[in-house]
Amino acid sequence: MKHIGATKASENLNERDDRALVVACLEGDHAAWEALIRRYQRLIYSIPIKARLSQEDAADIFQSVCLKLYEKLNTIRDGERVSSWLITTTSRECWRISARNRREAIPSGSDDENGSNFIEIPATGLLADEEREVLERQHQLRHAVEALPDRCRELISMLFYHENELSYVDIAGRMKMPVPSIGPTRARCLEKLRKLLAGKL
Amino acid sequence: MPKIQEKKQMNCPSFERLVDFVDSRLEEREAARVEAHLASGCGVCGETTSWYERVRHTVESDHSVAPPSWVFKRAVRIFDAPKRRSPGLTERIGHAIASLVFDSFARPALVGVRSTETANRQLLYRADDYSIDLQISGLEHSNADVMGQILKERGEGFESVCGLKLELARHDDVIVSVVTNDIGEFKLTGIEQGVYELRVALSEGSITVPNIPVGEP
Repeated sequence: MKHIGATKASENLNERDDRALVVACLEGDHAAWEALIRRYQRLIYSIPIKARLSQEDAADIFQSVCLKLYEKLNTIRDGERVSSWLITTTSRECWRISARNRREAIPSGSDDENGSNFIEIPATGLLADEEREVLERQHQLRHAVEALPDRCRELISMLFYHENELSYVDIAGRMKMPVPSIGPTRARCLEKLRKLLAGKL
Repeated sequence: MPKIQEKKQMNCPSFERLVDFVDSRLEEREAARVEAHLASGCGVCGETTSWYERVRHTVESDHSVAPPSWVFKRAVRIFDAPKRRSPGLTERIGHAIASLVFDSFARPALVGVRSTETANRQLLYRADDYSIDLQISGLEHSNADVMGQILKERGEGFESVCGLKLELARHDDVIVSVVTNDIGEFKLTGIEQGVYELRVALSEGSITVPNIPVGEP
């Protein structure tokens, strides 16, 4: 299951917007920093993976982007949207790592990139506007699902993000509720989700 | 063309019916009734179904993956630096011995959980304001690669960690020397199995990372 979860302790932080989390980070709140990274972990990590970079490169890029975020918290607070900043910074890091990989793949002194020893490394450029918008919408939806009350979050996560499509009978069994209650509960949860998204999608 | 109605009507299907319609969960007759209602130009219900279709489309296109837990935890630790003043040029840290704060091989494996991590070993050391992150590849023909990054927790950018001279030594013999790149990264390739120490020369002094197990359990 593509897990979406939040502990009781993190509920309050999940409800805070990015600006509030950034301000809390600047005041030294470790939990706010963890919540901020947790909120954006999929967005950051998925960009290098989508660009066909290795898991090792993706891990390095993740660390590098988080470090840059930490160093730039003060300026991000003053306006720029965190998601937009992260997408730009991560795609730049992908480009840099991709360029480094290409350099290292070409034997030194060789001017024949089509030679038999040439290894194909993905060339990663900055993301197109359309791709950025898709990533932001996916992030906004996941974030809104995380901000739902416990039962709703659990139900909507099963419906939306489970690896295999679950029947209402499966979901009822997992949530320990009668099958006929699933439909109306889902509808109530989706209405809450719509309010949380407030026209963002 | 039907006139678009902007207010919810008496005969509007419920929200639940509309999402069931989008999910194709309605019986044929009920689905036809909802379809006819939407075709009549009800703006409110049309907006609801459009919203839910956008949600479904967003979910279906979302193939994002979460990073392995060690990657997440490593990023969280960026914040763990002590909130103290960075040493000035005249404040030397002298010779510091780094201590191990994380070893990926030391973690217990969870039963039934499929790991997304490779056979690489990750070690994180800390000395003063510096952290030294090492990734040691699995052995191949008794050799392994060691990749790493040096970070200064409270540093401004990467200025303090780029161009640092590193020496990998074994039994007091320097095996290889490298210089960190513009973001403090370095790579040591073809290192024989054994236990090494890494010496890092800083402007404020030096750090030794002892007992680095290359290809060792």
